[in-house]
Amino acid sequence: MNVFDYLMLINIFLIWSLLFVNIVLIVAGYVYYLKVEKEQPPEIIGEYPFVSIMVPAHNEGVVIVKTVAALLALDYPGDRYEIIVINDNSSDNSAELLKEIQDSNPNRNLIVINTDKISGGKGKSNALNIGYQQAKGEFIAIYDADNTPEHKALIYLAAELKADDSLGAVIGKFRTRNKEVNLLTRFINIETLSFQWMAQAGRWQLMKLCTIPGTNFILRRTIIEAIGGWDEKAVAEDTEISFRIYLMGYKIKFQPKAVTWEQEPQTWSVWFRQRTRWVKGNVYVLIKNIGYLVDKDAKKIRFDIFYFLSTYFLLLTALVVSDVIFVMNMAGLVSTSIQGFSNLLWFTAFVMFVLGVFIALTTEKGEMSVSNFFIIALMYVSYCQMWIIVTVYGVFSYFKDRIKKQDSKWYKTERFQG
Amino acid sequence: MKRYMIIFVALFLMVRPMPVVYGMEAATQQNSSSSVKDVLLIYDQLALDTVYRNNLNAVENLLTALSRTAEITSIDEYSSGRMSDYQKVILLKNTDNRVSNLAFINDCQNYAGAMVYIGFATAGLIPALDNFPISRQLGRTVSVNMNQLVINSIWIDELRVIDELPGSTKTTILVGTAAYPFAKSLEKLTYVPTFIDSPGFVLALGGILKDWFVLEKSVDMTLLIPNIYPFSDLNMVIETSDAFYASGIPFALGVVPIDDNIDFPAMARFYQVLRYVQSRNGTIIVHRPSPDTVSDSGTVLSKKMYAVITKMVENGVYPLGLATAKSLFFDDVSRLNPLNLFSSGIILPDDEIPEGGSKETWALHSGSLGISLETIGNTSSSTRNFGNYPINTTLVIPLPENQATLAAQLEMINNKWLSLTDYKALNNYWTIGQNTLTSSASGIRVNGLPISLIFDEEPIEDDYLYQKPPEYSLEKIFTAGNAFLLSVVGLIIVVFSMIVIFSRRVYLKKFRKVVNNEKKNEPEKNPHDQEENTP
Repeated sequence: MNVFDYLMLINIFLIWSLLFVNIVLIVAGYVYYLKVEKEQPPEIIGEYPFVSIMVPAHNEGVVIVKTVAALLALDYPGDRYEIIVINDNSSDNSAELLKEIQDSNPNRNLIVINTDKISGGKGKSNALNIGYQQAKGEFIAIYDADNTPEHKALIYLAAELKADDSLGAVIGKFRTRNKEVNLLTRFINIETLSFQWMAQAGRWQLMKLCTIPGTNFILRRTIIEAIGGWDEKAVAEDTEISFRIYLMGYKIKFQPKAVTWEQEPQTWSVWFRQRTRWVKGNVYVLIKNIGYLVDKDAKKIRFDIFYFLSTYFLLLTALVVSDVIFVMNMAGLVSTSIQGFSNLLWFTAFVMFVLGVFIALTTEKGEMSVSNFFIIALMYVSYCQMWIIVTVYGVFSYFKDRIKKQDSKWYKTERFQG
Repeated sequence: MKRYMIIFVALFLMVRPMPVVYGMEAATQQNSSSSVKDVLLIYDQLALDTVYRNNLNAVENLLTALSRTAEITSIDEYSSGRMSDYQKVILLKNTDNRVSNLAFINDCQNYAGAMVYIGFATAGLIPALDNFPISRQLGRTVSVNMNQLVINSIWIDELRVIDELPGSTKTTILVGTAAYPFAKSLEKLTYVPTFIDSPGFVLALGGILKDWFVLEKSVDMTLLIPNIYPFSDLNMVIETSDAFYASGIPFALGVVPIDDNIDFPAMARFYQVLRYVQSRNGTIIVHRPSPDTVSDSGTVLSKKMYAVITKMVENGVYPLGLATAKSLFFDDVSRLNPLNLFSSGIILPDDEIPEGGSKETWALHSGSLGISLETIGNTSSSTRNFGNYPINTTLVIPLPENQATLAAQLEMINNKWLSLTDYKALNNYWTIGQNTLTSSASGIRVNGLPISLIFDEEPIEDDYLYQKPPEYSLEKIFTAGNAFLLSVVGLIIVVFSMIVIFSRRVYLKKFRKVVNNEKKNEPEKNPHDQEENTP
């Protein structure tokens, strides 16, 4: 055996280990789904908690009206929640559009904060910190500017948080509202559903762990106060704040009945930039918190850190290294002598992947279809491989920024009409 | 410090290329690769557009067949005084062009050693030559007479002859009824007025050179069937061996070395056939591997050839000589191990265009020049027995394609009353690896011990695995792991499938009215599940 054999051995171990971890999460996620289906979400007893909904928006004129309208229509007492739209250094007509809504809803708690390039324009975390200065609610809810939450989304989130003091935050489910546009949006629809039912629901079911997804979640004001607001260097502010909540001893619960619909990228270039930002953000959070892996007081986030470490470094490295060795082996540049696994095994693993993802789709109306089954198979050879490229590029960009001592640039996802 | 030095020396020995190690054996052949060459061969031009284009090749072939080492240079590259380093010089003048190298002209005029001058006589170049009576005839069919052998019907465009009676000269050119000496000697100068690459002229020149070099008088003619591969018609090889054996014709088989798959049954069968050939008084000669099929690296060639010859000996096959074109003799000797360890060889006709420039040759201890059956056919003998050409020759005949060809070849050999010599009777020897092999009229000896050439058929494995499965590391672990993972993944697929089937029921129950469930298999939109805010 040579060094390449040992590398391949490590890769095989990593890939299969992580595969089995995700299989367990898939099953656990489905179990949680059945449990949620049987149970009614908790109701708010007594006075409704006052909720501040914050919507950071930068040049969101295309979608902001629909989002605010949906927030105004939430099934929640109008005097018990406020909507704070942080119109963050927008150069489009967002300010005018928001003014119109404000004027047409004079009796509602709708606050619009317009920032300029001096006070704002520094990313989502900064915008949230600005909004938070004016927030009066005991609970803070966050929605992205392209979201259309269902009527009961907020009440489900608030009820869960009010009912259980051990919860620091409750996250809802997000769906793809433009999934029918093209194959990419179909891929993303399947990806988001399977991610939520596997990583969010599965982890909650097994370990009472979730990660805040960036939108459609609610958390206690006391938490924001305790952590001193959002980390403005963190591009993936949601992951960052999740870790902080766990470290404070709270849990984050997944309530899939609280649904919001959001617009996903419709072009590969937009998708690539958005996902690169996610990767860079998560790498930042991972590196910032890597020390907690060996911290006795950080048991709760150990799995999450390990999960991120596995995804962005171990699995990525394993896949890239094994692919490189495979290609070099085919080119005759290196030789490996380990036998490897049979093609039958790799095929069954592929079938397992397709079925596993499909299970997540059975939870959603209209998704359990033959066409989606084949789209999942197609995803394996296309979309999933693109993720490898994105991850490699994201990790590379992150370290390039660090070497050049540049702050990661917050890329705002481009919105589409519709 | 010394300790590290020892390690360094040990490492050095470990990483040295094979030729250096083998070089100790090669040193025994120093006589054949001496830096002092026997002769300086100077040519004016290659004359590629003329009938003389292959003359340089032909002279080089002759020199190697006569086991002479030479240094070869063109007149243009000739440097002053070089000629005086040699006691023998051959000057090949392929054109009538004037010579412009003054140093060369000067050296020619003052050269005191022995010289053979071949071709166009350039006035003033060699003073003694100016006195030779030379006449020129165009378009002639000539014969070359070498003592008792005459090679007939040689067409020549431009014949230059020494216009005098042959006298006692053994080698003559016959034009009709007239006879001219093939060459004329005057003191230390020998002049060959006409030379072309035709067997008659080549053999005649060979005789002149042999006398000029004062080599052993006795000559032999052997017979070689060249280019035998494991995939040649081995049945015909056996049949030919039997036929030659029955006719009392000693022969040699030229075996092309195969260094791949030498453990295959096909190779074992091949060795078996070769052993059979030896038992029929056949001699095995090994070909030089084609330069096209081996790496240029001398190390690679050496290792391969060692393996090939060692394997042959292990299988009772004893190659006694080398068959090669003369180009081999221009290679660096150190790159040729172990080919240069053979004492004898057959120089096969080489039609490749000669390369210009200076070069040096080495030589085997004894050699012979390959000739074709056609040359034999064109040769008439004044006696019943064919006799011998002036130099050692090897009759090269291809493996007969069928019995008719075999019969024709046998008939020719018998009708010509050829006096063929058994190759193994020619005092051959070599030491390669652990084996020292000698052969003489008394037979073959390996490491001093006589060996039997009686054929003893050995069983050959029929169920041989031609393509051995690759060897893997951790094979057992991976095989077990594969089976385990297949079981686990299979189980997971079953579980997932059950979940999907179960979830289908949950799905239908949740999203479709029970009535529609029985009528059509499509989920129906349930207004209660659809929020107003849902897109």
